[in-house]
Amino acid sequence: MPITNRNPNFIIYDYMTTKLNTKKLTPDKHSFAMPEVVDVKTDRGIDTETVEAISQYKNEAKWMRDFRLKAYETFREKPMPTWGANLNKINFDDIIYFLRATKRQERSWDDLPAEIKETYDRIGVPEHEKNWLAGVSAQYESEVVYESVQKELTKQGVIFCDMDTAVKKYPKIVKKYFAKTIPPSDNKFAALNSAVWSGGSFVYVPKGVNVSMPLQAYFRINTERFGQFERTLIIAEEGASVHYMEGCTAPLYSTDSLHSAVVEVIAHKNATVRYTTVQNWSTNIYNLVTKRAVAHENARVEWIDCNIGSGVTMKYPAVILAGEGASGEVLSIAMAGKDQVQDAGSKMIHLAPNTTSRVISKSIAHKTGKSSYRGLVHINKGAKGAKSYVQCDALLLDDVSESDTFPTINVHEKDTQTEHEASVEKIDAAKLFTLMSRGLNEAQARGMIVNGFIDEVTKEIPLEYSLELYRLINMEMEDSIG
Amino acid sequence: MITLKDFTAKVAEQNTKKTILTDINLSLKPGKIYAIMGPNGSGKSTLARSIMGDPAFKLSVKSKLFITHKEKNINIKNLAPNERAEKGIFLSMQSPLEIPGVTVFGLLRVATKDRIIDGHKMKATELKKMIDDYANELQIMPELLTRSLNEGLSGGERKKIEVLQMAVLNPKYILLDEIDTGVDVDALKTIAKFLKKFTKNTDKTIVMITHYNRILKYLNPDTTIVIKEGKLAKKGTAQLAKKIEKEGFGKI
Repeated sequence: MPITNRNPNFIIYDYMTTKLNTKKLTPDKHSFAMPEVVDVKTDRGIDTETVEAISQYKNEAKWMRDFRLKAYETFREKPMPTWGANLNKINFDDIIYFLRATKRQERSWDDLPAEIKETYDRIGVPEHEKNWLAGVSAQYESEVVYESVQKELTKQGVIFCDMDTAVKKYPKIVKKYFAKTIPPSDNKFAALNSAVWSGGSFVYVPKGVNVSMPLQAYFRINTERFGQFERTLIIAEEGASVHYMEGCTAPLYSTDSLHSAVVEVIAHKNATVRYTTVQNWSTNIYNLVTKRAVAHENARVEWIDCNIGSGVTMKYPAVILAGEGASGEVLSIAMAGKDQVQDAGSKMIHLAPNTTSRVISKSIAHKTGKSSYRGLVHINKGAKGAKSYVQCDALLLDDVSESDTFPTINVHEKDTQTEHEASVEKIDAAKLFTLMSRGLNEAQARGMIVNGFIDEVTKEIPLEYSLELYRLINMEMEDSIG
Repeated sequence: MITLKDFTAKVAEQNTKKTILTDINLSLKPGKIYAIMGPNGSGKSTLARSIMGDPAFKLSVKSKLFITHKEKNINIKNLAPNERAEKGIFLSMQSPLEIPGVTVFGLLRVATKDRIIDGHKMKATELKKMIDDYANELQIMPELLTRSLNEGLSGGERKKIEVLQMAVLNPKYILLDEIDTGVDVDALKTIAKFLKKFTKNTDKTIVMITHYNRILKYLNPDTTIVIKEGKLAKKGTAQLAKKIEKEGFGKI
């Protein structure tokens, strides 16, 4: 199944909106002059040829091509996970594994589903950003900002580019770390990602460098921002620090059924890495993401993970606390609405002495939604003085929704301390009455209680995101009261 | 004026049909101070919460509850608590609840978002100043305002925060459910003086549910009402409250 070089009159894949568009385009001079910049995609389904074609199209080195092919074999051998959410409806033969539009098509605002447009308005996404998210404008206006950020980063020796570029330009670093934290054999979806990955970010922060502003995925213009099979690799050298941020609160409409990313983070001695995700995929998406970090001596890794959208999410950000004194933190919010399953959690693996981990998980379920916390705390023999604290709180907004907690704690060392606290509560009528007696209507009161419930996590994310999240939740509350 | 006629309240929960208040007839007039007294469990809190519209209680069909405004009666029996708040009713809770992640400012910002001051919509900074000024007057430590509502606060601090919210919302009818319980002498004095100053030369109505006379020393009631076993047992003047303090409810 080779990649077909399609004439632009054919199907155009617009990856911002990830919608197949059959609108005819008149080829312009530019695309004729540069025959290699036409729109390409693989046929539906996957086999060895598909994987080879992707690698060939990208003109990759042999090592990456071999890696992909081997990963594909692993994908075929690995069984589907038998726990967590029901994944039976994923049809691997019906997925397009690689698509690339070299020229973003300008879409009409009218092409977007009314529901999504309304949400953009109601949560107050700025006009230019809204157009960009919707694929109406081809470029994000922050290009100027991006350029100045890039300049500053280059001066500091920081590398921030898309993963495909990194494989070509920085093979030495990439080879050293790529798939070392999450090998393809980790799980079926990590294997699939390894075979067909495209896009994602590469971040390298040299020794002692502190990147003061958060690196946001949307600064990467002209590259894929929300790929189906993104691959992200972040390396912070000794004493370095960086905050990476991906996603947005605005719902992202997509007709693709599967988003399966792999994110690897390596924090060397005394380094600090924070990775923030705000995810609001449309509800037809299976969001199956593997995220794992290694924290070396006295390093600190923080995952902040907000899952609002998707039909099914299975995601358990992990920190391997490999060096003495390393610390890991997972702060997460999962909100499951109508027909949604949020199976989220964390893994903290304590391998070294005096390592600490902290997990705060806040899940909300309403309108038949299911939210679960699934977590692992593992303390190895020899990890003396390890400390772990897990707190998972669930809030149910009605009687038709569900919440579960599945904690696993394995402790193989005596001199350690683990704490696990879990709570499930229904929205409290007395609290609602209190707030309403002060003049708030029911939707406002519910919104305030829900936002208050997740406050511990939202106060850690950048203000513009937490404000959007706040509005998004209030909107959900208004809708639930009608 | 708030009028209650044949006011009968039950616990709303389906499997209990316990009647708590029976046929209360009462008028709460502008500019007046009322003291509501009675033994524990007699229905005093239910009275205040039912006026505010707590869905935990259900009124009987023939119960009437209305506000008289410019000689027109407005039925408020079926209004939600926030709609009653809009009509000028405020209830200071007996045991103010902790609400995680919600600050006094956050709550009042939403509650006052349509308020017009000097011809413009009240700004966040104006609200902030209003809160700070009242907090200062009520001797609330500024640090307490940054916390989640009532989180880790003492009884007295909670009651002061209730009064602070009352002041910002500026209601016509101030229902105070045991504002003096769990409050030390100094805090009580501060609260009572504040209330006195706040309502001076206004037509605001104060309804105080209390077990003690001490607050009544600062806020002298025009009418004392005794509720026993869900019924209005006696109405009197400030003297009645003094008599109860001495002799108890036995003789009423």
